[in-house]
Amino acid sequence: MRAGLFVRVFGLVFAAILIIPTVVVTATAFTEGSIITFPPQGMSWRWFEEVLTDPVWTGAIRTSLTVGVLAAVIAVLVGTSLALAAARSGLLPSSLVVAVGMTPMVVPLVVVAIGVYFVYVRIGLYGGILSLALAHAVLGVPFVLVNVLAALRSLDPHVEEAARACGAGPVRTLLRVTVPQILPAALIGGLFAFITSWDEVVVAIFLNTPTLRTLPVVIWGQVRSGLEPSTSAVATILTVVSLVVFALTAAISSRRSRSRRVH
Amino acid sequence: MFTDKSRSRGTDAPGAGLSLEGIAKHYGSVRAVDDVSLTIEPGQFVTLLGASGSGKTTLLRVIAGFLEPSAGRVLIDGRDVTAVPVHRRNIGMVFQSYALFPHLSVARNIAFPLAMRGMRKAERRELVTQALESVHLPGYEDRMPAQLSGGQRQRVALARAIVSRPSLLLMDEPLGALDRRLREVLQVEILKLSRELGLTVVNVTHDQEEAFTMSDRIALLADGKLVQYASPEEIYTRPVSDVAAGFLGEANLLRGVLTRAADGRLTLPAQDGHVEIDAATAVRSAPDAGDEVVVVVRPWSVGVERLGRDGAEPGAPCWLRGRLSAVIYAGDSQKLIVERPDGSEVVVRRSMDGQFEAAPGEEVLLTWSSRDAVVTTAG
Ligand SMILES: Nc1ncnc2c1ncn2[C@@H]1O[C@H](COP(=O)(O)OP(=O)(O)O)[C@@H](O)[C@H]1O
Ligand SMILES: [Mg+2]
Repeated sequence: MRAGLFVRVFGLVFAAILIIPTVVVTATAFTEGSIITFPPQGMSWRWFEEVLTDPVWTGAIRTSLTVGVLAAVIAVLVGTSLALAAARSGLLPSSLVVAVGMTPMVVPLVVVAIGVYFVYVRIGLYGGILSLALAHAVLGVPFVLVNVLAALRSLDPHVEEAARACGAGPVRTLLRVTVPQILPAALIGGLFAFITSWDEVVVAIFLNTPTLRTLPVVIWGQVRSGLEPSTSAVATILTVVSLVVFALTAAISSRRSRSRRVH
Repeated sequence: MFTDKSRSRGTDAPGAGLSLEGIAKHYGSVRAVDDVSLTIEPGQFVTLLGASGSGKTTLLRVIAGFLEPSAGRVLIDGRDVTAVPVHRRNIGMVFQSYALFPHLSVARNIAFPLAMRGMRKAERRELVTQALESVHLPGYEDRMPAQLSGGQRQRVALARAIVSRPSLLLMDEPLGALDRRLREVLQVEILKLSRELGLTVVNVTHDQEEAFTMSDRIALLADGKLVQYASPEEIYTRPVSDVAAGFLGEANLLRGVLTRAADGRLTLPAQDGHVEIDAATAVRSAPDAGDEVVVVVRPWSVGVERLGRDGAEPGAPCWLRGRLSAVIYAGDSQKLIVERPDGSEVVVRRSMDGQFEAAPGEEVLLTWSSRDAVVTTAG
C-alpha cells in the first residue's frame, strides 16, 4: 500500500516534470505581449500568424517536412529490407544484421553527426536536402527494424508456406504475402522515423547551410539571439505535429490488433 | 458440377501417383525420417499415422518440398521431383493452423493459387464460387479470415487447397485444432470431396480413429521408420508388430517365449493361465518353440465369467485369471479392466446388450479362441 502510494506520487511528479515545460512553452505562445512571460498576458493567435507569414519560418517548416518525409520513406525501405534479411533470407546471421541496423541508436548523436559531416564533405554530398534526409533516415532505421522484426517473428510461418504451396515463388510470396502483413508495422516504424527527423537538431546543425535549415535549427538560432513569443509558437507547432503523428501510430496499432483478433 | 468441370477442362488428370524411395531426413544424430519407401496410387487417400515425434510432419514436408531429404527420392507420376521447389510441384496444402492470408478476403484467398497459375479474373471468380459451394460456405466471398470460426477457416483453407486441382493434396493434422464433433463432420466432408475430385491425398494425424475412417491405406510410422503400410483392416487384423497392434485399436499384448507342450501344441507361458497359439494366425513366419513373440488379443474377442470357488483348471485352450478392477461405460460399450496377478492389465469389451454383471474386486476368468488372437513380434 505504502509502496503503491510512493509509486503513484513518484509517477505524478515525473509526469509533471515531463509535461510542465511543454505546457509552459505552449502557454507563452498565446501571449498578447511581445516578450515571453509566464503566465502569458491575455490570449491571442498573433504569434502564430506572424510565424506562418514569415518566410524564414515557413521555409524552415517546409524543409523540416520534406526532410522528415524523405527520411521516413528511406528508413522504411532500408529498415524493412534489413528486417527481412535478418528474419527470412538466411544469407546473413540475423544478429549481425540487427546489430548493424541498431548502431545509430547506440552511437552518440554527435559522433554520428561529425561522421556524416566528414563523409559528406569528402564525397561532395554536403548541403543537399536529400543528404540531410539520408542522415536522418539512418537514425530512423532502428525504429523500423525493431518494429518490422517483431511483426515478422509474430507471423505464422505456415502462411508463407501456404503461399508457396499455392504456386507462389519466393519473390511473389514476399511481395504478396509477407510484406502486406508487416505493412502496418513498417508504417509505424516510418512514423517514428519521421518524428525522429522532425525534432532532430544535432545532425541538422552540422549539415545546415543558409538555405537548408530545419525548424529545430532555426529555433536554436533564434533562442541564442534572444527569445520571442514567435519561437514559442513554432515550438508549439512542432509539438502538435509530433503529437498528431504519434496519435497516428497509436491508431494504426489498435486497428492492427483488432484485425488480428482470433475467435 | 465441380467434377464435370474438371473433366471438361481435361488438362489435369485427377490425382497423381506418388512414390517415395528410401526417404531419410536426419537432424544431426536425430533420424526424423529413416529410410521410408512407399507408393501411393492415383486417387488414394493415405494417412501418415504415428505418435507425436514419429516423423509424420517431416515426411509430409519432404513430399511437399519444404524439406530436402538427406537421402532418397520423391516421384510424382513417375517424375523425380526431389529437386523441384515447392511452388512448382502442383500441390495443395492444408495446415493445422489454417494459414489463411490474413490480409486477403476469403475470395482472394481461394483465388490465390489460380492467380499464381496465371488464370484470368473472370475465370477465377467462377471457380472460387464453386470451391466455396463444395466446402459448404456459399456467399462467404467477402469475409475476412478474422471474421470466421475455426471450422470455417479450415473449410476456406481446404477450398484454397483444391481449387486449382492439385495433383497432390497434403494435410498436416488439418482437424487437430477443432472440437470433436466438428472434426467428425469435416472428416466425412473432406473424404467425400477428395473422392469426388479424384484427388490423391496424404493426410497426417495421430488420431487412429480418424486414420481408420478416412484412409484407403495407412502408413504407420514409429521413430521415423515405416512400421506398416496397409489398409486399416489389414493393420488391425494382421499387425506386423506390437507397435502396429497397439496403435490401431485397443489391444492386449501378451509377451513371452514360445514353448512346445508334450502334445506338440505351442503355448505361451502365463502365470495363472494358459495361452495356446494357433500357428495359422502368425503374421510373419511360422512360429516355433523358442521364438520371442507378442500375442495380440483384441478386447472384443475376450469372454469373461465369474470364477468358481473350486479352483479347478479350466479346460479352455486360452484362459487367464484375474481380478476385475474397473467397469467403465464408454458410450456404446462396456469396458472391463482386469488386473492379473503379475500386475498387468487385460481390457475386455462387451456390447451393452451382453453386459457382464459384476462388481470390481471379483475374481474372473477370461477366455478366447486361439484363432481370434494374432501372433506377431516385438517391433
Ligand atoms: N528442424 C528440426 N531440427 C531438429 N530436430 C527436428 C527438427 N524437426 C523435427 N525434428 C525431430 O524429428 C522428429 C520427428 O518430428 P516430426 O516430423 O515433427 O514428428 P511428428 O509430426 O510425427 O510429431 C522429432 O524427434 C523432432 O524432434
Ligand atoms: Mg507433426
